[in-house]
Amino acid sequence: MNVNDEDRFADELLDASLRKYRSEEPRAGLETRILAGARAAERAAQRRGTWVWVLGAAAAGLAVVAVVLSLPRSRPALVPSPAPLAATKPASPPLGPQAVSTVPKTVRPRVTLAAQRPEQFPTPMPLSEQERLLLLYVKAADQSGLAAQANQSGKDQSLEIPELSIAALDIKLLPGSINEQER
Amino acid sequence: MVVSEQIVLSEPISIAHAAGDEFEAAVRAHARHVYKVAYSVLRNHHDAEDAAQETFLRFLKHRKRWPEIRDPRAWLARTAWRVALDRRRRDPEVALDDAAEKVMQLRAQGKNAEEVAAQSEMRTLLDHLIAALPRELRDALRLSTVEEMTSAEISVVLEIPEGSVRTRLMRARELLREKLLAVLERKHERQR
Repeated sequence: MNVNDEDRFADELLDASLRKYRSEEPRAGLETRILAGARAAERAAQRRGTWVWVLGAAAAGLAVVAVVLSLPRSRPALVPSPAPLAATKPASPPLGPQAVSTVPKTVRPRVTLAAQRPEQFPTPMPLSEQERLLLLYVKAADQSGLAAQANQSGKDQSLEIPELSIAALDIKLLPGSINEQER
Repeated sequence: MVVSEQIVLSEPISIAHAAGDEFEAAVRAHARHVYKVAYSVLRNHHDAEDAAQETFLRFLKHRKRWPEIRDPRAWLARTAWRVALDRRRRDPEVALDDAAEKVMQLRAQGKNAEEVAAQSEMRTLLDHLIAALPRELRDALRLSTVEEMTSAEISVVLEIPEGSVRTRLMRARELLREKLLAVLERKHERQR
């Protein structure tokens, strides 16, 4: 077998092999399977979307509850501040011997408002039981009757103050004073 | 089997109706082409069908951009090509010597080129030789094996000028011929 035969055979073999190498036909029903697969994928995506909405709504609800629970109460919390260090206090002026004490001065913890100060002071408080009863009594009672009762009670107590008389001042000079010597 | 497929087809597609008709039309028009492009890379029916499925799912996902796609056939071919390249596993190790020996035996028996080419050993040998080509030549050659695919369409898929496609195809064929000759001659000399 000479070189030309080898070359020709290689050429023919390559051409024939490449023809056979062509893509093969798909199995029957390829389009149907692709459409069915697309439909299934679409449904899966819709299910995933539904779950995302459900989980999102649940997370939003939890966030709202957490925010409501974390809102500050009506009374601000009082938190004692740490005691100031003695070294940081400014030096006090020297005191007299009686003022010097060997007992160390107790330092009271300073109380500060941790939360924001209320706008109104004092902080409005609800009426006590007795205050509410008094209010009800005042509303229910006759106004004129209350006034008469007040006048009557004023007479009974005879709170009139007798007329006052003030004696004239008589200041005696001290012996040895300058005025005494002049006399 | 066929009956069940017909039943599936008769059901309405849950995809948005307007897009559903267009999508179904695209599948019916281009599914075979997409499959063949994928097959040219994967050389396996099952993998090629999976790649075709994924290609059409990507097409469906881009439904808002359909008006911008001037040539759906080219778009689908390019997408199928990329999907297949992503899915391609490492080329299997081929017992090259065994395949070449079988080819030489067939030739010694007086078989002509067509008969030798029909053997699975020759196909294995060609697979190996194509896999050994440089990538740009290999890509052009594989796409050229897809029936009805013109140089212009290959150039769209590979995003290169059409003239470059022709040059690469010629160069790929030359290299394949040299390699085939080298394998057969080496085997022939050993047999002597």
